[in-house]
Amino acid sequence: MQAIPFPRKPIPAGERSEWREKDVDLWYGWLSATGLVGSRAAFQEKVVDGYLLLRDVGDWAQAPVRPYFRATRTTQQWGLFAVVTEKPERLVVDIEIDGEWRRIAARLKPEHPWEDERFKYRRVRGTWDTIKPDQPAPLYEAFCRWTARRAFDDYPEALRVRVRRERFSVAAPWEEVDPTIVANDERILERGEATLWALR
Amino acid sequence: MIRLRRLWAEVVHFWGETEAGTSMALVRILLALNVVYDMLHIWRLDLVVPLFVAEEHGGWSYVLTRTDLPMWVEWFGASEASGAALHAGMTLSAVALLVGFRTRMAAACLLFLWVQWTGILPTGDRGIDQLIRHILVIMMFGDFGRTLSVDALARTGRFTDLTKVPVWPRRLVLGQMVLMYTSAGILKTGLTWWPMGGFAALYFALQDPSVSAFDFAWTRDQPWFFVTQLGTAMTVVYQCSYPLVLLLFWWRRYPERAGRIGRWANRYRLEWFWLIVGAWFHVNLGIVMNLGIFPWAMLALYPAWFRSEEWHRWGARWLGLSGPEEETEKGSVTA
Repeated sequence: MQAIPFPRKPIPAGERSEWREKDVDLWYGWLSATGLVGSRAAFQEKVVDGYLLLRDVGDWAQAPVRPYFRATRTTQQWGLFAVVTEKPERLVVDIEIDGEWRRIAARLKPEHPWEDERFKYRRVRGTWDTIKPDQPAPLYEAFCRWTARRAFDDYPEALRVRVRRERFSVAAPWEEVDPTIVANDERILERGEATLWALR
Repeated sequence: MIRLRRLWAEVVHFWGETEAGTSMALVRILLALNVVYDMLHIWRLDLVVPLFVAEEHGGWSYVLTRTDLPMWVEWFGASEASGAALHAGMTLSAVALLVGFRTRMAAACLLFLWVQWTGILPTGDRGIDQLIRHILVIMMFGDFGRTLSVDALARTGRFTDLTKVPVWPRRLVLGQMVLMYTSAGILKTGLTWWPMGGFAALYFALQDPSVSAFDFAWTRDQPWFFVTQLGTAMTVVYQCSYPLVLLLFWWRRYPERAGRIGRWANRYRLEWFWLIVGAWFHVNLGIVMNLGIFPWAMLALYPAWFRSEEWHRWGARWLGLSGPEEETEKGSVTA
């Protein structure tokens, strides 16, 4: 029962990310050819109505098995790479020496290998790759301070440490490459700020 | 009514069948090896404090800001010492599971401690962690420590004990695999997995620096992009078609009920397709992507595909000994 992919809370139209809107467009493009779905707005409304109904059915049907899944903190929904991002993010760390920023860590850039083994560990990845641009996970702040502290230890000449996630676009072979890189959740820490707040 | 009774008797018989515990022991050993490796890897990377301790005590967890505290934190706090104790407890439980010492208790302890840890660091918990916890629940109730274990040594004076044990836990592990692969296929809602998205999902995944093991920018060029498209299509077909293995097992169990296609599938052991493709898929994932123990822990479940007698026969052949006779009991034939 838990494995049935019943819908969750729908995301309001204005808050949907670009790829979700693109998905609706693509489905509408395919289904409008049948002549059964009306306008795009009507199509979207029908989708949301069906979605809400299914969510209520799911809530009711999964109630008996919910305690087991709560106790074990598990689910039976295996969305392994269910949606693959076309705008991935790269964790980068820079240090400031003599007024200039120098890059020390960037995933998959062999010339900036600092702490790569730690940053790529799956549980560490969970602290920085699951956050939204407008709502960083609470863990992110502690992660940045920890990273800065290690950088200050390894580079005593560094005055400041900058941690951020750089979002870039991946283009399919039939698409134009967009070279824009957007820096998200940038944190710049000075030596005194790198200590975890409880230890200060 | 008679038909219903017969059906019920068959269901009871199916879940009550027995075999030697070798397959289940292999699953236990391989899965525990993954967990032990993961715990030691955390220790080697000096990540015990960041991953097990609250921010207020030097870690990353914000558990102390929440109202629903895990039991471990309520009892022992979330300090450096309690984090180290939790890590040590998980490591020791996993080692106990590996060697089969108080196997059921080891599985229960590991599950309990793992749930506590997940409460402390929810964002560190991935799909494979949840899958292992499901298997631990099965291990708490099944006889995974009957053979190849310290428990067997204590009980019989030998490391192996081929006494028959209920086979249902192995079947539940198989069922869990079927559920996981099928669900992973059905939930592939991103268009890039499908023809409308150009089967480009694998290509895009390989360009994501957070999960890719190497720089795969070159896969944008042909023929490599086509290879990634083939990989994407193969993944979807493989995962969505996984429930077919249940039909194949059913045909193998009841060959007299298999039609022409069923007989053909039995003759060529068609289930090997899912087995080999799955193993190939996980080994490749383990090489090209940075997913930690995921591919290897998945492979750790694969021994459950075979009944223990098959392992004995292969083992005997490998060691140059004569193996046990083929079982004829219904239900001991695969799955």
